[in-house]
Amino acid sequence: MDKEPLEKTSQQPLEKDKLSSGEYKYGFYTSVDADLAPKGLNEEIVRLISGKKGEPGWMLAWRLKAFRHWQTMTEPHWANFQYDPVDYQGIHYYSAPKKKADGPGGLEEVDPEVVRAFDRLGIPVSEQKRLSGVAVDAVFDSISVGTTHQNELAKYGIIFCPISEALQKHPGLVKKYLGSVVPYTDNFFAALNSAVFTDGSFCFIPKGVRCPIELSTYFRINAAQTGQFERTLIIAEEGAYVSYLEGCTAPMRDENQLHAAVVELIALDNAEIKYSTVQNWYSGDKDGKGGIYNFVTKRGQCRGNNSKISWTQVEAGSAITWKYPAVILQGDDSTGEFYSVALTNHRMQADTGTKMIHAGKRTRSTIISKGISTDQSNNTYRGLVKILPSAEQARNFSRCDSMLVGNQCSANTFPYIEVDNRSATLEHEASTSKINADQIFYLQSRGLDTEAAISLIINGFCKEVFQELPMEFAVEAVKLLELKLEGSVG
Amino acid sequence: MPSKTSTDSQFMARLGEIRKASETEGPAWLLPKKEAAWNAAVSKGFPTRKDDEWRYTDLSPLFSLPVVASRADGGPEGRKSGDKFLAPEDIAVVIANGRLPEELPVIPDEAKGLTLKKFSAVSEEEFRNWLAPDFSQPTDLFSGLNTALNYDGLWIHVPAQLQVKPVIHLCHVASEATAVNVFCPRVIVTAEPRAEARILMTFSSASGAAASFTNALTDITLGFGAKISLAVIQDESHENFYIHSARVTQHKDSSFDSFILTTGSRLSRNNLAVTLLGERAETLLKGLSLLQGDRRADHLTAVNHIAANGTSNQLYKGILNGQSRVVFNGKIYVHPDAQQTNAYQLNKNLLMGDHCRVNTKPQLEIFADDVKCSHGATVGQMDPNEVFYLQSRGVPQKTAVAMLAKGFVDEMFPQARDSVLERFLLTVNPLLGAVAH
Repeated sequence: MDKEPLEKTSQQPLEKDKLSSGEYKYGFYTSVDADLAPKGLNEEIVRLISGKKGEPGWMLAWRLKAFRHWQTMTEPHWANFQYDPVDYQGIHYYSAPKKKADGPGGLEEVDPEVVRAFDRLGIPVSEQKRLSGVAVDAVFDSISVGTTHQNELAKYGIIFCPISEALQKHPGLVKKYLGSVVPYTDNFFAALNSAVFTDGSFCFIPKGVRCPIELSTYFRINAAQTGQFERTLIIAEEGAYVSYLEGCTAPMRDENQLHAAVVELIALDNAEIKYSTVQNWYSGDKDGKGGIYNFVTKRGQCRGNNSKISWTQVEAGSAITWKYPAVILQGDDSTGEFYSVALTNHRMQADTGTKMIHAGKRTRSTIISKGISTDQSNNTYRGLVKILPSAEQARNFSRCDSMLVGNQCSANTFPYIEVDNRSATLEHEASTSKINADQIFYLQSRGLDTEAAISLIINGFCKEVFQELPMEFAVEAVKLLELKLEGSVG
Repeated sequence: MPSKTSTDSQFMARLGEIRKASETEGPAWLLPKKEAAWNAAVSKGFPTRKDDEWRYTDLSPLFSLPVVASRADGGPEGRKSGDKFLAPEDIAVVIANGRLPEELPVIPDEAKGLTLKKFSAVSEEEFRNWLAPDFSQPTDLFSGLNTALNYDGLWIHVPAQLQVKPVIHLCHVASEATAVNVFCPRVIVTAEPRAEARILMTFSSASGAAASFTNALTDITLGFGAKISLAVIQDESHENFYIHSARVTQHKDSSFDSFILTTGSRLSRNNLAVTLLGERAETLLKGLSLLQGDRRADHLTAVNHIAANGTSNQLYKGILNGQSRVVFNGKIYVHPDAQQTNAYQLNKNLLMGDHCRVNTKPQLEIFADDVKCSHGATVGQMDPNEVFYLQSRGVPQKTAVAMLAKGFVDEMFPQARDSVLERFLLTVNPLLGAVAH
């Protein structure tokens, strides 16, 4: 698997500081010439972004509507964390690495520094690495710099490309589905994203097609004082199947950078979408300085009967995480799943969970959430399970476990359960506990050192979630947790 | 204060008229408190569904309740309506229409040392020693209104080492022969070290009583090693609104348990806040809601573990018929110093009616690492296979359903029956029989 370099490239810094608590290994900055929009947000900027992308007129009109709506909204503060106010006028809303020549072209026209940056991250964007089994769309700051395997996928009728390209080549499809799951009026950050989103992936699996390889997008924030506003739209037509992976990193900086993404998934009859995320944005240093503010709206809609959407997430980065991947179970017999591991260390604050909205008959949902808090971090699970009156015989099982490592962190659980149909069956259970001293002692007596013992126990704790991840992602997730936990236990 | 709807401010204005009637009543130490509580309540205003703690309960039906500010208490005839709960061996205080009787009961010899006193008879010194902390607690709107509108409160004091054998029964009745319809009974219980007592509170209405609003406030403080058990039966008429806030403070090694049965009132809300201030304190909170028609019950519990080695257990169950609705919002908060806390919470709901609704929101907020905390919630219906099995053994369908409903609630009732439990079953059994209909 080509994921290998992920570990390899980061060997040197890792070895050196092995014991100095969870060093962030993707914290490098790549110096590239960038095409940078002026700071600030106004209609001109929205027009500029739309112009840069050569978007159709209706798209600009939609963006402007979203922008005007956003201006009427106020930032929400109900989540369980505190942060310094975000200066929305102090951000560059567009930053793109300069191409050697204008106009569409292959990867050779991308600044080699950018390609090298992705190589360091272990993301195969260059041609020779395209043999791997994963098709990748690599997003660098505001734009997509390369998408692999497009031709092979086209043979199946699968469209996998940057959303800005889709807007030019398949405007009808984008227009039909964009904003149909997360309307721009949905919330403050979704409105902001709708106005200024710059890139992201578009993925369309036609009727009856099982996508033969995993699709993946890798997001990289590079430029300073920018925000990343990506938009991902995945549509699985009748009987289609796709597994989609998402990864993210950013340089280490003292400033807080904003990441406000919107992801929309649409599954029609008998379709299945599996969406996996390993989120490893820079989380700030030990004292909580710097890091990404991750305010993300992710929502899937099981529009067809017997469809399935499954979210798997490993949240290990970001100074602040505000993220509730949701599934609207509209089609009868549809299934929603949510598997999550959220690890917080240093002074990270995570308020994450899911929403399962049952509307169709015999809809089922499963929620498995594992939270691990260490150092002085704050980890919150917040979830909603709603059974609407129309959801006959709906079924939900939820389980939220939290583990506390150290006595300065906190773990919170806020589940909301709303049942409006008597034929529903719901089970919810949650627990919070300390890492078991007896288990550590047992492993130590078998010759493991404390860190290895803790790592093994945490792995066991998260196993139910990791086994939902595609194999190479699972390996990466395990390594990521080990790295994050280093030095945080004593 | 931004005006929300005109009706809630109009309701507040109507309560203001009641306040005028009781403004100058009570001992000197209480008057400034009432004044301050009223001003705070007015500036705070009623909560709306935007407040997270009132997310699932809409108070607006309450605002259309006509408020009558008469001072009549219904006389001896009215007092009889709570008779079914009275037992001769109890120390019983009948609180009719929110007003204490002229004479408090004589304390029997076996409970010598126990003090029951009206606030109006409490001296300045007693107030400072025992009651002051409860009056300086931060209040929500309804406990503030209770202080402001209460005519006279009851102080129950259990001295050190005393084990009060008889049940202290506070029998609240809304009687027909009255024009008053806003009741604000207030009780403060203070238990000195190693004292023990059982308190039963019943709330019922006489048939034909006007629609009323009960806004009760109960404060309980448990000294070192003290043991208090609180049982509440709320069986008011369907027209009523009922809000009961109970605040419990537990010192070292104390043990508190409560059992709240909710069957009546179109809207009932139980706020129960327990603070485990001392080490090794134990808390057991139980709640059972048996609801019919369009009744709504809303339970808010907040268990605050401040000190180490505390244990808390919560078990709340509901059986819902018709279009009834139950809300459970349970909060467990574990302070950083509360190491080795064990805190559990379980909420189970059985849906019988076609249009009944459940909202449950168990919350854990944990700031200490060496703890064991868990919560669980289930919502489901009766298993048709179980009903079928019983039917196949010759049990009629309705009886089978009633049997299974009884099985569902049985774990809440311990095997050892006492006089308090008997009174619970007196209310519960007929309702379980009616579940199948």
